[in-house]
Amino acid sequence: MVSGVREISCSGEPVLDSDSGEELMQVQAGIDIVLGDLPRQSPGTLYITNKQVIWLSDLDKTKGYAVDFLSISLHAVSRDPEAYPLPCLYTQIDTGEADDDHTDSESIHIPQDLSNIAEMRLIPSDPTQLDSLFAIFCQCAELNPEPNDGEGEEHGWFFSADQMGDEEAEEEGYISHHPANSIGHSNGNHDLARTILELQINDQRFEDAEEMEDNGDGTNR
Amino acid sequence: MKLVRFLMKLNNETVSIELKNGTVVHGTITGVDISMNTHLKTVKLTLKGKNPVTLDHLSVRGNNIRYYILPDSLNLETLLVEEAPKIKPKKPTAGKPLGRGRGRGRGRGRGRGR
Repeated sequence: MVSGVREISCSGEPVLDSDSGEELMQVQAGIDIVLGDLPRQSPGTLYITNKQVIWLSDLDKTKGYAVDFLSISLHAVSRDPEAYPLPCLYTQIDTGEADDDHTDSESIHIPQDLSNIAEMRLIPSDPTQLDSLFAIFCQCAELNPEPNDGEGEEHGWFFSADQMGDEEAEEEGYISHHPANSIGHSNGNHDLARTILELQINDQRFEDAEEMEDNGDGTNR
Repeated sequence: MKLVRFLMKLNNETVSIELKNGTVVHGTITGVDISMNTHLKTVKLTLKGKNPVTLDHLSVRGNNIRYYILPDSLNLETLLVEEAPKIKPKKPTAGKPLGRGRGRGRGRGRGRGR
């Protein structure tokens, strides 16, 4: 479930969920934060864990924001003054809304609560820190794959033209997608149907043992 | 082949990526990982209904990608070739006939009548 940006309160240090294996990856001081169209807040300290990004204000140590890496759709190094006046790490946050759920004109009139915030900018006092900040975000994104992605089950198969033939499917061990496959051919193994037909099933093998009893005089009772 | 395996071969290709929220990313791929997280350089980012902005480096989370627009010049034939051939599964052979055989015990034989 997407949680987006959330406000947190703590006593100067972020509380980590060590039971679930959360650990601190990096601490970066002198970071300003801009959430959506809200005013820039400065200064603060950024705590990057393997699960989330936490920003705590230096002025009010109890005030801060957190966002899970699972909620960060993208992050980027922004140095173009037309994009934003100061060099920053730009992030887009998944708010759980589809792109056609609301128009931009509607969202202008809605007072922004944190769950609606779709952008976050982190502005380091030293712009040379941007590349290392970007790198750690990349590393943490990789540490947080989608929870519903099956292990080893990456993304869908797709086939080039020559792989669609039955022979190729058999050679590669792929499931054949030919709709007209008969029973025994559906898994690309053309010998299976013949093998089944070749098995001579002797009905006596399936009878219960000693079902017919011999009286000794050649007659069955 | 797996889609992500194909995408992992696209280093240095310039692509456009549309995200599920309508954002369009245009840039040069520097890497794609197994979760389809895609890293790009020299990026032009266009939010839905807004002007494009330029970014040095960008990394997009794989599950947010709706589709990639690939360059026309891309040689799909070579990129779609599997590097390591799959191990051919053994075909079943007609061996011993399968069955329960003759049981040793009396089983549930008929009871004797009077």
